[in-house]
Amino acid sequence: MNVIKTENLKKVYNEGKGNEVRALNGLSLAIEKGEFTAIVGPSGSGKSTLLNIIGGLDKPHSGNVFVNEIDILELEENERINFRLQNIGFVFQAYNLIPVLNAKENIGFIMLLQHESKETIDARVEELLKSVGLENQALKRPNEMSGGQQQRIAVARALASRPKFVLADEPTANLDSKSTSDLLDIMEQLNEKEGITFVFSTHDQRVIDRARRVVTMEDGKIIADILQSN
Amino acid sequence: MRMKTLLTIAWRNVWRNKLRSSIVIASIVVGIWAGLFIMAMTAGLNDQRLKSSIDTYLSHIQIHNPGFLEDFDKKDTITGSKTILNDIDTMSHVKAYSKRLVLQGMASTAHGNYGVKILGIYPKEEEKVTAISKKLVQGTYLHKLKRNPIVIGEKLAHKLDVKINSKVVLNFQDSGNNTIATSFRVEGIFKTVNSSFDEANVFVKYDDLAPIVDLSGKYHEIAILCTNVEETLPVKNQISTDNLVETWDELAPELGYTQKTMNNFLYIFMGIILLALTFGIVNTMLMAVLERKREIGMLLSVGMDRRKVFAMIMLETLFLAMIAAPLGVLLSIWTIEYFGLQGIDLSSVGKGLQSFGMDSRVYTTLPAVLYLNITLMTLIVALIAALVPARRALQLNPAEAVKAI
Repeated sequence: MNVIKTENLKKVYNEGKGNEVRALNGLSLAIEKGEFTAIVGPSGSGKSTLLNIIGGLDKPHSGNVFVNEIDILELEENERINFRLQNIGFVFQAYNLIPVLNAKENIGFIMLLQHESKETIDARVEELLKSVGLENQALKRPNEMSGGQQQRIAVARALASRPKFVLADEPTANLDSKSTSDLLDIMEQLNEKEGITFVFSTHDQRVIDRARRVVTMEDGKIIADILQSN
Repeated sequence: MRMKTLLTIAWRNVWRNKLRSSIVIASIVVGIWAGLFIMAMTAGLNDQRLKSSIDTYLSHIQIHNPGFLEDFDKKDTITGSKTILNDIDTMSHVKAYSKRLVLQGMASTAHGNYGVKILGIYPKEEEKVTAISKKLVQGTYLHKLKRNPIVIGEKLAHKLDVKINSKVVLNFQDSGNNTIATSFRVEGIFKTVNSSFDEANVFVKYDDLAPIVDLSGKYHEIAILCTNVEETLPVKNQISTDNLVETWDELAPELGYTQKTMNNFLYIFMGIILLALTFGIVNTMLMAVLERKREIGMLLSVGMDRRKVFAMIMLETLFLAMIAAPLGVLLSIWTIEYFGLQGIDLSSVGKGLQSFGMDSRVYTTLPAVLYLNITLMTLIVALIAALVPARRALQLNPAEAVKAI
């Protein structure tokens, strides 16, 4: 079953101007449940635009985007916000944790937005802290943690709401080798054990090597789509 | 998301940049304090001017023959004064009254002649109504010398170059328009906060003046002091007579007008200060929003609806104001109370103030309701100021904001 399906996506920036950029040029892609997919390509190839559109943060000029067979482009603004909250987990390059909340509160924050009870949140946060190996960092604020630890908390936050899939935009760009390796181990485990679908854009060869599917983009098109066995 | 969580995040956000938040809080505190303190000084000066005017010459109510105030004709005495005085005697809110003869005349010595208002009074009555007897800087108040004593202001005494026991000749007309010159001896010299009053008014005994002008048993003026200023109108309404009964604000419209417009003036003044503070708050909160673009972008991305983001920024601003406003008001109460008792010495500009009937030591005062209203005004202004940064946060494109540097 396709968790994500895009059809003939087109997105143009600065349309009609001298600096017009065709970020997506008729892109179609289907991602099935449980995939561990890397979207790769040079800067300006359209990776981030694709992720933004799949994540409901941006709209294409034409084409369709289905998530669990729901056409997200048909949703109203408020419905789209709620759709993101219930269905999509986000991991950002710069972690983007809330500085005034500790690790535990950062992870539970999404569930608070979902109006979950305190007991449910506490149980889920504890479970996720274990999953990312940071049980002993629960009360630390982001500025008291390393970049790698922050990104692991960000992954835990993305999973807190039990999303249909996780979109990660260059998740290892700010991490050293060890942190990258640790983060990939965690993401792989979550993918294998819990069947969570991961889609990440990356330049990082270490990530590309660990992905089971590598979709290569150039000039807004898919130029290669390879399944890898690690 | 629970309101408590939103409040927690907003509260912690306030303290992310302690220095900046402290500066904003301090600026609001100082702004409120400066505004309220200047308001209290202005109100204090105005109250003193009013009190001094009532104490020295106005009293709360005056009764005259309707024609008297037009040209001060000595024949225009109060009609039916006995009935009026009998009525006044029964009024519980009348503290005291004083019957007066009022003549326009000239005070002369070898050093010069000066136009004066001559008030023929009963000293024991007068000292219950006006405070002249307490303002004596030399001598006594018309009870020592048996024949023709006079009490004059210090400024006039200087001009006439007289001292206690010096002779002053008063020139005036009797009821038959005959010019009379009578010699009086200075028994007391007073000094009020109003130098113009001191220069132009002299007090003599009614019993000395009335026979000379052939107005015994007649009065030009009855000055009434009520138990408090709020009783002025009710007492006036109880006095039934064909004579002209006027309250202090009718007799001195400029004082009444100032008193009535004082609150409006104070609010406008505070409004200007708060407007200046608004720009400071907008600037600071806008900086706070722009610095947190990535975080706000993340919140919008993960599904926090825009109303909550808006509310979060509004709450942050409100917290700043909620800390600052009570601190500013408390500081104001403390300083206003302190200088309300100790007074502020403005003797460097004392002469200027005295020409306006004000004392050179001002005692700050402010109605309690103003403290409450200013606190509310500050909170409202802070919320209005927060609209700009909160709206800016809503305009962020989450996809771009999460990558903002």
